[in-house]
Amino acid sequence: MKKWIRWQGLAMFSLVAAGLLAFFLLFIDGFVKRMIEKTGTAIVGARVDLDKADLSLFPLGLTLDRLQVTNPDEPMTNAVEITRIAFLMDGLNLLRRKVIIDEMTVEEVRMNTPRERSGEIARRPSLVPSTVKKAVGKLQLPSLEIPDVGKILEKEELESLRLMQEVRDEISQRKAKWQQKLDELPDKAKLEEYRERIQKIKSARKGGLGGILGGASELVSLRKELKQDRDRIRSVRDTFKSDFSELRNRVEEVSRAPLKDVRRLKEKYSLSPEGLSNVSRLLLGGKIGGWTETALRWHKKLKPVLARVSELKKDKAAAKPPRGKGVDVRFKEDHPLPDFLIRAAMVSVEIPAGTLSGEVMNVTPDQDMIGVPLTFNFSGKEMKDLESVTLKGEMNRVNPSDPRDEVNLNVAGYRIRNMTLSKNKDLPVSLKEGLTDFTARAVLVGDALDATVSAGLKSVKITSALPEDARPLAKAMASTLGDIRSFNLQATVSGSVTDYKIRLTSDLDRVLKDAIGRQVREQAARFEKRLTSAISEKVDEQLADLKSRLGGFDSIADELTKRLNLGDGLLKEAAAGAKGGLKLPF
Amino acid sequence: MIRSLAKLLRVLNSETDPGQISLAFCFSMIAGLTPFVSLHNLLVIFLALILRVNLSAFLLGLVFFSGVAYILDPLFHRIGLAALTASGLDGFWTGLYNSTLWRIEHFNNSIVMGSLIFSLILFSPLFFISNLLIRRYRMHVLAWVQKTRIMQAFKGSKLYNAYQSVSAWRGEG
Repeated sequence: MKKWIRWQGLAMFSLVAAGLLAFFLLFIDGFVKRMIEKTGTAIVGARVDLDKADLSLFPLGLTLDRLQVTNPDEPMTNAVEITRIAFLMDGLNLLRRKVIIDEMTVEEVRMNTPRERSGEIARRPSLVPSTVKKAVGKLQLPSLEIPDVGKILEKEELESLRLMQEVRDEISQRKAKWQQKLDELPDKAKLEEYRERIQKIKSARKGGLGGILGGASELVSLRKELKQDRDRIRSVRDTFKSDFSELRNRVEEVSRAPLKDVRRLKEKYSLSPEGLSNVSRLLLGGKIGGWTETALRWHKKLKPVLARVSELKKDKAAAKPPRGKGVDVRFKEDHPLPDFLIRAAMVSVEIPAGTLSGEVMNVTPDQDMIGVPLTFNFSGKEMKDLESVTLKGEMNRVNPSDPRDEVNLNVAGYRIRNMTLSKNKDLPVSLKEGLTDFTARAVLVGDALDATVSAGLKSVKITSALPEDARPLAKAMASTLGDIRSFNLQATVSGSVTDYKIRLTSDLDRVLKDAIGRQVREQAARFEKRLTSAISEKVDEQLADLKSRLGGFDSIADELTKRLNLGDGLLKEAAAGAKGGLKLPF
Repeated sequence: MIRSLAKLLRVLNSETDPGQISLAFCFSMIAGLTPFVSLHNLLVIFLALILRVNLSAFLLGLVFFSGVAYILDPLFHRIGLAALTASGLDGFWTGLYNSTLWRIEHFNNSIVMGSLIFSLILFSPLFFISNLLIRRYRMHVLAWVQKTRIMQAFKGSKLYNAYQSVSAWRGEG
């Protein structure tokens, strides 16, 4: 049997190993570059480009030149562009498949830089649904023009006219009723008959005892009849008086109805100062909403950095893995470390005002393993148009079931130039310049968002490029805004990340209300005057007619009084006749 | 160029004992069925080069078993997962897990573990079976192949003549 050892094989193995090493050294930089681009593109959903990757072995480290991360929503713009990233790695931990970086340098981070070519890879839906419009609402300016009274009266029904018609009908009915009742009562002729009978009885007494006795009983009977009739008349008269009084009250009530119509229509059609109670929210809320949406979008992009890729735990069943990949089973480590950890990253960020420097600590998806959250702290001083700025915060996943993120931003002496506050075509407003100090604090616990912004602005110049046919109210508001030199505002954002509400208060509201309020009140008074005149024109004639119809009841009243007086007189006469008594002849 | 090719073929076919060919197949099974970029394959390649095994059989087997691996991946995953999650071996695996060398080997991956177990189990049976088959082939089938027209045409080619002359220099039959 031949010898089993092939010594030339040792040389061949050395050659193969050397070849592999040479291949590794020659091509590893390109391999790392492609890996970063491929992985980054998959995470971001848009192109991630890297100019150069340089892997060094001794010491083990990596330098990345010009990393560009495309903004998925704007493919020709980079969300982030970083000039240089450099870090060393722990080689031993790397062999254990753990990327532990003690210190990383990230130089010149810039945002929203233009790209040379499109970074789009596939159409993506918006990451954060916009609820800005729903939360804030559109700026809708009421009109200061006096409404057309004629057109209003054409389409509006006047309550007073309806009431007048009702009362008119009522008067007619009642008049007929009382006339009928009057006809049923004993009239003057009937009452005169009584008088004649009384006279007859009186003359019959002179005929002796028989005449006296006969007259007395007839008189009693007559008095009884007369009294009944008189009482009937009196009863009808009393009822008539009460009825007539009620009718008169109704007519008086109807005469006040036109004023109620005026009041009702004035409230419906004219402007009140209370309608301008929160214009600042409409002017500034859109801006706050836009910033909120941007912040939430960035938060959503950064979340995967802290999200642990689900792995198979030895006591858990595995999900079906990708073919050829398998799953990694984890076991207890003597010295547990996260799979990925950047202990400290020194970052410089370029913003238009200058450079922000800061550090980000403990970047890892396994915060529960190290027991500390990710924190960041940036600051900048004496920058262009900005006195100072500090940005601090943390993203806490130490307890993965209780995530909590917080950010605090303090800005002092920021000079604003040409900031658009409202794009509304009726009232476009921009803050041409101003100086502001503001603080913002936002806390996100799970999905619950709670943020507050407080800002004080001074040396403010607000302009409004009104169209030529601008409404009077818009002109008034633009003029008032132009006179403002300082104001404060407080905003709160609360709700969930997908459905939040913005509440905004500002002393702008009081200023606008005071300035515009007087004009609004004057306009309301003019409108009321025109309305009163127009309604009076419509109702005066009918009201006069009502009153004259009411006057028609006087004749009935007079007649009843006359008959009653006549009845009373006759009763007295009859009573006197009875008192005249029996006069004996001896 | 034909001479260079002939020399290469000679090198590749220099070890023709059935055992040498069978061993080459067994090594190629390990390298082909398991993920190629693994620490143990460095050892396999080293052994394939330093031991007198048939290199062309190794390369041929590598290609063949790499294709088979794709089909058997789900089976390897199940075998590996079962082995790694066996409660009786937990302490053993934990010890390996805390060793840098074994972490480089990536033994805790279900595909790596499953394919390695599978190929190690089949190592011996494959050796003996392929040994037997090669002998039987040479005894019963080779003579017939030599007489086929394809073989006759190949024997008349320049490549074959160059191959034969190189073999003659090396004193091989």
